[in-house]
Amino acid sequence: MKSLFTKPEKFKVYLKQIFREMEDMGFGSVGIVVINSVFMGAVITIQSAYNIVNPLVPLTAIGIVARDSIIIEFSPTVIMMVLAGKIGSSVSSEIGTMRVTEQIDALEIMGINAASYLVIPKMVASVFILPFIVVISMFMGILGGWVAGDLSGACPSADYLKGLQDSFNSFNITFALIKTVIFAFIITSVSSYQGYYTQGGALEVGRASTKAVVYSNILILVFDYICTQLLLA
Amino acid sequence: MIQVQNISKNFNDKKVLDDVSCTFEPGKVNLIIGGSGSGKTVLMKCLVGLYEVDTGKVVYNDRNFSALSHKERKPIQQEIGMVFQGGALFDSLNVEKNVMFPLTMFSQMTLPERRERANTCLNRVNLVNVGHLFPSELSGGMKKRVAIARAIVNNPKYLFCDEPNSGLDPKTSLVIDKLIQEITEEYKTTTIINTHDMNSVTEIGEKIIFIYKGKKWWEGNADELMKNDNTELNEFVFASKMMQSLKKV
Repeated sequence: MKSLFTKPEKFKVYLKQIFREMEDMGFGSVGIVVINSVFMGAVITIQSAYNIVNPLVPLTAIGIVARDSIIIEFSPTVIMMVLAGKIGSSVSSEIGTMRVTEQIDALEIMGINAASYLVIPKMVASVFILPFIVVISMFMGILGGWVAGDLSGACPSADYLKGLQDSFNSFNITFALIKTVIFAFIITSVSSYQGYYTQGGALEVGRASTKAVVYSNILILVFDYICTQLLLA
Repeated sequence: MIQVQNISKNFNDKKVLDDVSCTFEPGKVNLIIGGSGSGKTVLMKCLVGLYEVDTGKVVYNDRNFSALSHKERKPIQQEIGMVFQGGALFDSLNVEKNVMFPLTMFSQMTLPERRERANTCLNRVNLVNVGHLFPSELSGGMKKRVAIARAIVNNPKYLFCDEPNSGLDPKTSLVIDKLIQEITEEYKTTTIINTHDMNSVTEIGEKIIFIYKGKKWWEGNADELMKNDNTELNEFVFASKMMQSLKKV
């Protein structure tokens, strides 16, 4: 851990690495995030409409439920768990392969702090770019809910849009972004650790990758509970 | 010159290196030979600092490498070039960027200067117009040559090669051997090669160290190797029929 946070050999090279990682993690994840978000938003809206059986409950409640569940829980937690699968396995297998093919040894022999060179750019990139991805997810989730509600007739547009604006608490977005930053750090640190300490061959790289995803998901759930308890309770 | 003084290395309770002492001379091709599991790779990893020695020391031109911290080792490490068994080229970088990498990290050279130096080194290992290719697009022999180019790009004083001929056909092996020998003479490097390829041993071995069960068992040159009367060494060197026939001649 100490060696991770030592002064970089050449800041300019690290900066380039950070931008490259941002591109990989950010642009590379937009597709899967958009697809997941649109469909999940649609499902939340239709299920909410299905569960509202009391005629006294206004249909605007569907918009409120969709908005809050997407902003507070779905986008920062579920999407980050999806990204733990995508980014976590990629980070872990990339570093793990570098370990078993002696690329990390090559860096160390050159006098480069391999842990810092490989891990810090990924951590910094994820902490900066993933909140943007989560904001995209929020937008696409709410949009998916709107389209599905309107097309299926479960919730007319006017009610859904009115619901979105009712009793909106902007702290929910702050809360979601705080969680995202914590989860981004968890995904990259756990996956990098699993990859960096891989020993053996291709089989072990695969195992490290699986462990990275499983541990990241468990930690995301644990920290989701802790954050909710600390910030919302 | 690299001096190894009484180094030992254990993994858990297993003694892998036992009181090994030897000297590697500059401008010469020094070979470490030994069977699989004899400890020669561990010895090389101790020399370059990938493993810490339990006892003893490794001295680079009067600088006690083993006693230095990671930060203090950097100037020495920048004088080291290493060719790994599988090449250890960075998958995400093309050939040119792989070769330029040590310069990018440590030199103050501009990009055109770094490019020029990288291409000079690639030409030196007889690779032309491959700078744009990625490691996955190269053959085994090409990978080794790129690894050699990357190892010499910083004008190293010490060149380490871990089984440079493994996985190569005899003709390409010969090319790599000759290349390492020429580079050693040209750059006056202290070259240390880990090998169990007897062809390399007889072709380029100026100083040979035989490691057996973690101990330095024998030391000499290629001529002495052919005439030695050491049982364990003879079992290793003359295991093949080809080497046996060579001895009879």
